[in-house]
Amino acid sequence: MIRFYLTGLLLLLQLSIAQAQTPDAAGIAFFEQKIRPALVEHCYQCHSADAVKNKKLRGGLRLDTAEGILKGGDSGPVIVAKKTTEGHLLQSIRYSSDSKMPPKGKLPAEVIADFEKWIAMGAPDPRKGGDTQEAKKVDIAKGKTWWSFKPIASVQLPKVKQEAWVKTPLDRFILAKLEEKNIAPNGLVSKEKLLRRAYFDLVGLPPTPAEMDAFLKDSSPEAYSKLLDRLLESQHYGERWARHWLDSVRFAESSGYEFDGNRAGAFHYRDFVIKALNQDMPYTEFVRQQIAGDHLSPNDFLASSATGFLVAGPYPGQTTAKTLDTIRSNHLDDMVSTLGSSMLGLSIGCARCHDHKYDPIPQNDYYRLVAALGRTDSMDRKLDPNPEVYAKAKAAFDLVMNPLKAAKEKFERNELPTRLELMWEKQQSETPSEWIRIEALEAKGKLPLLLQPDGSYLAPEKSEKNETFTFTTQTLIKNVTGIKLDTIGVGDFNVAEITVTAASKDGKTKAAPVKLKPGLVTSEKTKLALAIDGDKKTGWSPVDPKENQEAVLAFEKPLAGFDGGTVLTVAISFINDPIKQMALAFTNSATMGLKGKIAPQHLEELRSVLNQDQGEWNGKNSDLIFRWYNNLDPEATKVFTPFEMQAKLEPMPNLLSVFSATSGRGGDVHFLIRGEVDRKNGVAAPGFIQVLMNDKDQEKRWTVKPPAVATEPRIALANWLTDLEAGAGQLLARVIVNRIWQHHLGKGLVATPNDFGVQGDAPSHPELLEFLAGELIKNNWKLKPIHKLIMQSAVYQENGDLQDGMKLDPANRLFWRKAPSRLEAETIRDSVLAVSATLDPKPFGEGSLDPNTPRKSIYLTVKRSQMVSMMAMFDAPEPIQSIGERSVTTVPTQTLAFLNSPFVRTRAEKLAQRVKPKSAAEVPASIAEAYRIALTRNPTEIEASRMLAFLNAQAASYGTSPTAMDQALSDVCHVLLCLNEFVFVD
Amino acid sequence: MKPPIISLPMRRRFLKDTGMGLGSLALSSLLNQETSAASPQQPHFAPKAKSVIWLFMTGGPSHVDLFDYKPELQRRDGQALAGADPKTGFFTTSGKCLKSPFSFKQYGKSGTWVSELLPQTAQHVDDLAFIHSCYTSQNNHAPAGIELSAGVNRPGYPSLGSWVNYGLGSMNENLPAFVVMHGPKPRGDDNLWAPGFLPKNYQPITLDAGRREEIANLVRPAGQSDSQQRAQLDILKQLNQAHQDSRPQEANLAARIQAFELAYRMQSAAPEAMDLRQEPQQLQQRYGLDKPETASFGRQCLLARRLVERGVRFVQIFSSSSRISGGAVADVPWDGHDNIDQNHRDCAATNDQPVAALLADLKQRGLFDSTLVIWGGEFGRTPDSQGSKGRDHNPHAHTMWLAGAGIKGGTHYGKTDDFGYKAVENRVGVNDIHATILHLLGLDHTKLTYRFNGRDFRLTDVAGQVVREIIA
Repeated sequence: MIRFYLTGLLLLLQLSIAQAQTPDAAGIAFFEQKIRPALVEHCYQCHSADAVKNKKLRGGLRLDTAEGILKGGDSGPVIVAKKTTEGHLLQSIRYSSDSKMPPKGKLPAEVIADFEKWIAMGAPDPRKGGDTQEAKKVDIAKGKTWWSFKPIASVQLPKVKQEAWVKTPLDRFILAKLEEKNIAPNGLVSKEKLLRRAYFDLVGLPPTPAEMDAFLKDSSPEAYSKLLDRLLESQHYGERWARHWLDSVRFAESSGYEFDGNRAGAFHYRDFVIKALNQDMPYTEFVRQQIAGDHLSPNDFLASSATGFLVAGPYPGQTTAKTLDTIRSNHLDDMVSTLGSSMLGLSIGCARCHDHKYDPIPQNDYYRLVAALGRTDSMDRKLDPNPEVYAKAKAAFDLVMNPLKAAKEKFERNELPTRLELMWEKQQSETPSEWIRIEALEAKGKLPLLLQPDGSYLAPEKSEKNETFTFTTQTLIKNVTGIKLDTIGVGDFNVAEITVTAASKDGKTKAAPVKLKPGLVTSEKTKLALAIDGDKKTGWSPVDPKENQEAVLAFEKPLAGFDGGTVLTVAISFINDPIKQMALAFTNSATMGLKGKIAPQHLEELRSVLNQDQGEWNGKNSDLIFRWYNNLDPEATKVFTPFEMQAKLEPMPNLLSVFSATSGRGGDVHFLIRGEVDRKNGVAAPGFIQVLMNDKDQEKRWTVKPPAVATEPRIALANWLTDLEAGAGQLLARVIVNRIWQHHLGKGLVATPNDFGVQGDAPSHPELLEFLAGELIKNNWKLKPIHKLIMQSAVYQENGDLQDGMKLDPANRLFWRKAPSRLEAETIRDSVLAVSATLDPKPFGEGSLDPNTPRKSIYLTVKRSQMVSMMAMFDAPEPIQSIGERSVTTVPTQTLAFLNSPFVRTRAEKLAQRVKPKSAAEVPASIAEAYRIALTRNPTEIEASRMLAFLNAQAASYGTSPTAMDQALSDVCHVLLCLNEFVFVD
Repeated sequence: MKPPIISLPMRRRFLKDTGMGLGSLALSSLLNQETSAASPQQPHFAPKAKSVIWLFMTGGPSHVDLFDYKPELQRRDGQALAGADPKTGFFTTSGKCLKSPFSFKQYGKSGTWVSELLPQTAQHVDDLAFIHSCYTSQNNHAPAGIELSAGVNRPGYPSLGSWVNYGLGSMNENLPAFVVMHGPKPRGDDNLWAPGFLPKNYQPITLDAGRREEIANLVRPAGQSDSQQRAQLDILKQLNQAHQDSRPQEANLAARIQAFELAYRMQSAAPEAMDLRQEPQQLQQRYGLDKPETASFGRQCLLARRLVERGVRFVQIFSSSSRISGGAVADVPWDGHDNIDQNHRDCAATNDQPVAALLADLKQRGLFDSTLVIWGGEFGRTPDSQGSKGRDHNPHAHTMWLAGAGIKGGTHYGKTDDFGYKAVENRVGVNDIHATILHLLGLDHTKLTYRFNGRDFRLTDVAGQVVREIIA
């Protein structure tokens, strides 16, 4: 992709610069600018040390050393200094000889000209030894000195002058900086505004008027602290903060690309995040489960759900052999890049094609980290979210079942052999019959068919037209050769299609169709063949349906059948009315005549078993033997029937499909030159980012369990990530506390929450960041105490007033004020639902794509090709890469939606109904109540009178309509929802 | 790039307009144009084109059946194609040459070969610059389409239209800078035009032909008259203004006040721009609005002209076809896997007349000098057959043409081999095409950057070379 040549103008410019230097230096500069890049790009793949290593060296020619290029290859010297007519390099690249190089395509004319010029200059070449791709090595030791890779420093609380302002230790760090700059911090915001701020921050909903009254009335010093505790315990806390996390992990429930296939069980990851936050799972545990939950707690529903983190990225819906390598490489890159941005605040993905340009991350670190995830793939795991419920039910079931089972087994052991022996002798004397009457386990159309004493079935009275009847039976008889349909003449019929499928009783072989051909038939008005032609519009009908009919359908080849039983399903569909009464038979004999002798299935089954097994009990067939024998012996019935009745009650685990990670995909991860999948450069062993490894054994500290057992690489990765002593744990702590600060204060201490590297912003308050990270670790990595600590601080409770700080720190990087912030898309929508009392607070479970769903917006399904428009409109990010900070845009599509969308208008009407006055005298109170609901405050006098005047004018404009007043009040409420104050929180 | 390049006078005016009271907001634009920060930005150098209309031929039109005439392929019909890799495309190809079922003729002073399928476009060949040596890195629709649109073959990156919107903004206060039109959503969906990691105000308005190009929420709530809504807006403005007066620093609040006014004005402005009844009957017919096979694409092309005429920067039309045939599916109409003859006849019947009408109309109105028109698909098709009559995807070669602003008409750049299998001379990758388009718009592709997750991203990543040979 890269082109190193430049346009003519730039070339001239550079040459003129080059000429000003010493000839030697100019030549080297020319080589570095023009020749080396071209050699690296076009030639090294087959002519370098790497090529030797990869067994790809061609023509015995090395072009990566000065020596090699002068020496030439198998076919002699390739260049002769200062002689552009000698050596075959120039001929090759001009494509003027048989050897056309590079083979992938002729080099641009400018590059060829560069080579000519270079050779004419005498081929200046500074390269000695092997020229590797990495001209400049990443200095790991130096890299470790970057602030965010260093251990968390223990910090002293700064001394401040205005002690009175300080509410928590955090305030000292803020105030110290402000005092240093002579900026006065703002005072506290009003209690009403603080309440609203806290509600939106923690639960993403406005407080109700009742909650507002209670809080305003509570003048105790603990009122605010109690409020925070209550909000942190709310279910909505997890829902609110999960959304921030989901942004940073590009969560979605479909695969993107073409077709955007749905991932039905992907929402369990979202539920995991909500639950983990609500139960205040230690952050290290939260991370560990997302990286390796499936390995750490196999079969645990939540732990597996957590690994949805790894596989939530987009994945193509169509793959070809040619593209699979690239797709896989992108898949793993998505995982590593997301992990880097969301958990470590590092742009690790930047080291895919070359060493990181800014951060001390060599390209090799990237591939070793990829290798730690190298076998990761997605799967739909079947797991029970509440295994204890199943276990309890199963125990209760077993309590009843076990004695029945024991009785049955006792009968099998003590009674059955003798009884079967007796029956066997009796059976021997009977002549075998030609057909076996099917005794179906199930016979049904839309409704069950009715079994008659003669073994035939009556169609249900309420049969519909064009119905399909299916008959299912199980048999131990092998080599079935055909079936026969017997009709008992009542009314007209036309059999559209007959199909037969066979499956194994043990479920290991799924139902497969059996090919049929027409056999004998009593009469045909339309051909029997039409009933097996796959066309439902044509079928078999008899000449006289009032007479009994028989129709044989032979199997194209005998059905081998399965040990332990075969499940046969016969489906018969009709054109118009079904056959009123019918019976089915099958046979394993080669002659399939009409009007032959028909034996009941249970007798024939036993005969076949006993014949085959010489009356032996072989264990595999016991259930079926019992089933058939049951009909013949009342003693057996006594034991078998209760057993079978109970067996039907057996509880099943509630298995749900969970879209999660597995370590099933094979294949090594390779180092890739320039990140290109067809330029493999050796196998990469699992490893981690070197600047975040502080152990003499390097990655082995995590990947190898002493003495020499390899740890599952994802568990090793999780261990390294959360290792405070020698791994990435300290950075992990800094990154998450910064996110919490950011979402409370509007801006992170590090303003680039996804980038703690060299390109990121330096922390505005480095010591405060260290202090917060320390507090997190001290609190066993629990997040709720950090929320409370921040929110109890004066800096959080500041008002938005403009002071002198405006001049000295207009961007408010030092947090001297709290600026109003716009609510996020989800919170805007949820607030509209909440104030109109149409919010359904039901938590968890499958989401919805319906933009009008009353559920909280976190439960809107995130389908990549079908983003709910209100979300996209208000800056909800595209779930493709980690997003640390949403943009806030103001565009007229948003205001159009507020003015005209049915969603907002109907909610305004609902709010109007909520506050509807009973009489004209109550109208001002209604308006005031609407203010309290929507804005958590009473209207000012001016507002109240303006709104009243507006309401009256609107009502008058709606004329004499009986709903004029309702419409006018809806207009008032609509205005409230449109107010800036509704979507901006002070 | 830090914030987009805004000249100082512009910046001052913007601060005056948004920070302090409500001056006239002459330069802000409607819809997705962010009212707080989107004054039109300055190009890096004098632009040749003001607007772009990209006619995206979804599905991959076959270059060897349209613009890249290959006599050798015609002669060797049924013979083995030397060097053919049957796994080049999505399915497996035969490795045997399939001659074009269409006859070719030379047109114009340039003597350009065009197949019988595009007789009307062929009348304009001396205005078109052909690049015959285009290639993509991907052999399937969505990734290749995303590559063509956003320079990278996976989702998540800003589309060209979003970059242009970000770099240049809109020229009309009443219309969005970036408009996408489509019939059935093309394969690759929103990834083809999404703003990726750019802020959402750089996303396009998408107009769905299936919904007659309806714009959401443009109609007042039922039961409300214009004056009733106006009264509502008046008190809203009063209250919002009072709220903002005590928060003078918050540009977003002022912007939102204006956005309500703009939304109100747009309720009448946008329908005007979209109202084709204002066009003479004759012109409508020239675009083919009166015929079933051309009506939809013709309407999109005519709308595109009306939009660029009103200052819209970037219009992208994803071609649909009135008849889906020859192995294609509705979201990839040019995808003639089974029968190239039938498929391309149907697609061309949809495309040819409206494209020619658009070119003529732009010229006639003097818009051709300021509008860049681009035609092409996400890849070409294999010269060897798939089955007996079809062609598979071919990422190695396809033809695109550019016309209008800054383009040297009648030129042919780059070549494929004798069979049109691979681009062999002056190969032009997607980054090169993007670099060229940005260049024509006055933007240096190496300088148009946006910082995201610690990295300065470019549309052209680390590559891209302006194809100067096609520039006048």
